[in-house]
Amino acid sequence: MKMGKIASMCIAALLAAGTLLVPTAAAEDEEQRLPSGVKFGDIESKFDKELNMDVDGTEYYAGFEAIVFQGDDILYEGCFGETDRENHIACDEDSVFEWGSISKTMIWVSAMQLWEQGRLDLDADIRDYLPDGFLRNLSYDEPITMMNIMDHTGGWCETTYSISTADHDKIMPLAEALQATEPAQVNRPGEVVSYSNWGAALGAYVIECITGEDYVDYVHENIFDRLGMEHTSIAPDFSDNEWVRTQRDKLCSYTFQIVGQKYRSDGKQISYIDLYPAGSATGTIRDLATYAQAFVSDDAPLFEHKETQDKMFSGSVFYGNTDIPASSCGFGVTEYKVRTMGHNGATIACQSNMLFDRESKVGLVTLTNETSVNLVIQEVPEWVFGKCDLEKYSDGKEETRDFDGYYLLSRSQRAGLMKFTSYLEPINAKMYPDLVRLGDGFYTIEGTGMMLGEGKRSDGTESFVLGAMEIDKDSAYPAEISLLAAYFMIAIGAVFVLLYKLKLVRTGRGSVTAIGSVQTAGQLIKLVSVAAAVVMIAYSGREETYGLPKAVGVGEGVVNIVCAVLCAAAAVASLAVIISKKADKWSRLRSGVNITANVLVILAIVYFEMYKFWGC
Amino acid sequence: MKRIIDLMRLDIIAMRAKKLSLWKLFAAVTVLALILGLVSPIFLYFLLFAVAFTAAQAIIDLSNKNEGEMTYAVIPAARKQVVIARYALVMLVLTAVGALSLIILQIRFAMNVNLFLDDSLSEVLNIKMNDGGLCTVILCLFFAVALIFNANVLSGFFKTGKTGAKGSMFRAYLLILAVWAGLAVLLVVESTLSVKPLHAALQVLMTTLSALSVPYNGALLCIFAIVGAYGYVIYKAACSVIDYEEREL
Repeated sequence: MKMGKIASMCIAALLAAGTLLVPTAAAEDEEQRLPSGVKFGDIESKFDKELNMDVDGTEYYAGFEAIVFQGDDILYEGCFGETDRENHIACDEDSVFEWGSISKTMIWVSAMQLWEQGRLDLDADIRDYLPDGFLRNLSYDEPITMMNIMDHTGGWCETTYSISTADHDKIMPLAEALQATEPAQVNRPGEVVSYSNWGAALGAYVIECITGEDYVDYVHENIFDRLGMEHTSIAPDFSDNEWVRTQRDKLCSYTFQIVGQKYRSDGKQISYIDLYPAGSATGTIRDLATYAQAFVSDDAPLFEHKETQDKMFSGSVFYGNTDIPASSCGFGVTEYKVRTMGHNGATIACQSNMLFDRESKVGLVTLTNETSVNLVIQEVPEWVFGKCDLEKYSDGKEETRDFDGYYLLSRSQRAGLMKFTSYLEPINAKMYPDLVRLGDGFYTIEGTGMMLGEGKRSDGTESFVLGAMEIDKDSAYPAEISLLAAYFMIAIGAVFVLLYKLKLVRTGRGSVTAIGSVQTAGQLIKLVSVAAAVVMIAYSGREETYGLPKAVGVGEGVVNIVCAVLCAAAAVASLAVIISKKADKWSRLRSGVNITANVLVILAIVYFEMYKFWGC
Repeated sequence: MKRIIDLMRLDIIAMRAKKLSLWKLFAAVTVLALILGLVSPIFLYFLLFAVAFTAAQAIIDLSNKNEGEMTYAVIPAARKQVVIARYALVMLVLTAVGALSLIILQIRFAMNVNLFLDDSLSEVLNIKMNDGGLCTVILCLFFAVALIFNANVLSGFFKTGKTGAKGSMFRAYLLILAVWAGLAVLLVVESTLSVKPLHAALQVLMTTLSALSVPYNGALLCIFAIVGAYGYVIYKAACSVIDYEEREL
């Protein structure tokens, strides 16, 4: 009996223990999975399986490193490929990569630190902090706040002039670089989201003005040193960290070539970014992980109070009238199975990504010395965070909205010499399915996973927010692109007119007249104008400068001013022929065509601001 | 103008002079290609290709066989009118074939018969236009090339005359080949050597063409291609007037 009682008690105890054990085991199982569902123990095999593919000798990446973490724990660290394929230097924990635009998050952190200390009002006009008259290209009187800068809603378009240099001796101080490259303010502050390197660098300069400290020093003291990031540099020439400079010299960059399916070496691709706070951070994968881990830590090591960090990640730009954030104080928001925050980056040598889920505290950082689009690497975040199901954001109202017309990107050169380039990448909405409503002013394009929020332009222009960018409807697009094409075609036509005139002269049929000379000059200058435009694009396309050298811009502007004047003179000369009583009907027809061509060229130069080498 | 029309009629009469005249063969091929064009645009491209490489040469050959040069030397027509008439005739033939092909193509897509391209092609083209637009753009580019090619053949004929059309054809072939070879060399050089200025210049060209292809489902690109090609024809015709007037017949 006694034994039976003891046995019963034992069984009861075991059952009780079992009852306790079952949910505990389930909870542990739950905890030990990434948001994607991959078990912690399977992360390594997942990465190895996907990244160590060797099918028919196809190359999948140049060099690639990744760290997956949860809180303070590193769950996985992987280094693949080489930093220098020619000299067979393998990627390892000492390899440094350029972090690109992840650097901007250091500006946002710095701003929030100063806000926390009461030294910066996020809603005050930044001109209160800047030297008098520092901003010279403003078009609106409305205040520009640090919040606008963090949200990329300062109103600036893309810069025209070079923001970096390949020559170490030509690196400019931050303030000088900002003034030399100040773009036009084309939107009212606070209205249009338009990602801006220049705006971000201006934010860093505001930090300098408030603290009286060099931004490099500020970042070292308040971010790197606080977190123990000893292998990261922020100065444009790595002068703040000799070890990083040495390591950076071992890194080469690669581009995947479709022809031959091989990687091509682009060399070291060292470029010095004058607006360095926007993209100069360079360091190891572990330092990047340390930095990212700070954002999921309840200790908020970068701030005095955790609330500051919470505010930073509470969202600041939202899709339509919903509470779904498109960005949060400059940090990007990307929806996977869970909501992640972070930032990615790209320089002329590397690409980077930093993503973290503040709920599960799981994060991912990746670095690669590849500049081409890599579909394998692009999939990595989904391995960690899972696929997004937008249905969970739907308010249940099944509505669609027409998506029609032509849209242009807000992040483009909307003013000055290069304005015409913003018309070269239109979005033809008609080619996409209709918008499906998810919430008030919040849509998705079916089948694409894209999230769009209705824009809030005061001029009534239809626009949509896509993360840190907007697209805005341009009803006049067909006319605008026709005018631009006419400008190019008239210049090509001018070549043939000149060849014909040459033929006339060679056969002794041509005669030199004042009117004819003016018309010929008009034809010649059109050619020069288009050639200058191509030269300008060639220069601005040089990766190491991220923009146009000043001399080239001024030259282009002057050429187009001369072109417009000569075209006007040629049009007047042709008008004189039409009015002349001596002219036959063919002369009048030719002159009519000439006037039309010249007027179209003048219109193009004026409309696309090809003359305007200042204020952009 | 009447004299020019008369000269064009003279060429047409010359074409009809032979038993199995070339123009009947041409008409038969055209009708067949247009009918088949309802099945696939490839036949319309073939038609334009065939017309492009035969129209001007056929007219010049037949004219030469019927002592056309001699006829032109004795009839009371200015050389300028002869040039304009010959260019006008060739371009009219081409324009008629091009217009018919375009109409057939639009009918085909209105009927929504999709036997040639799949939807993924639009994705490859970065969603600039749909399949109908793409096929129309290709057709118009073929048409523009046809205009340019024939203008070169005619230009060669009026410049050199005695060697007949073969020399002109050869030069025209060479020109087209040179353009394609040049483009291929540019692409190879750009992709293998990474010449950045070259890359930028190509980018300007490609992005402008790409942007032009967006409005109205590619129609704007078609208009510009055709206007450009006709402009080239006018230039060549003007040069031919000078060459022909300078030439000893």
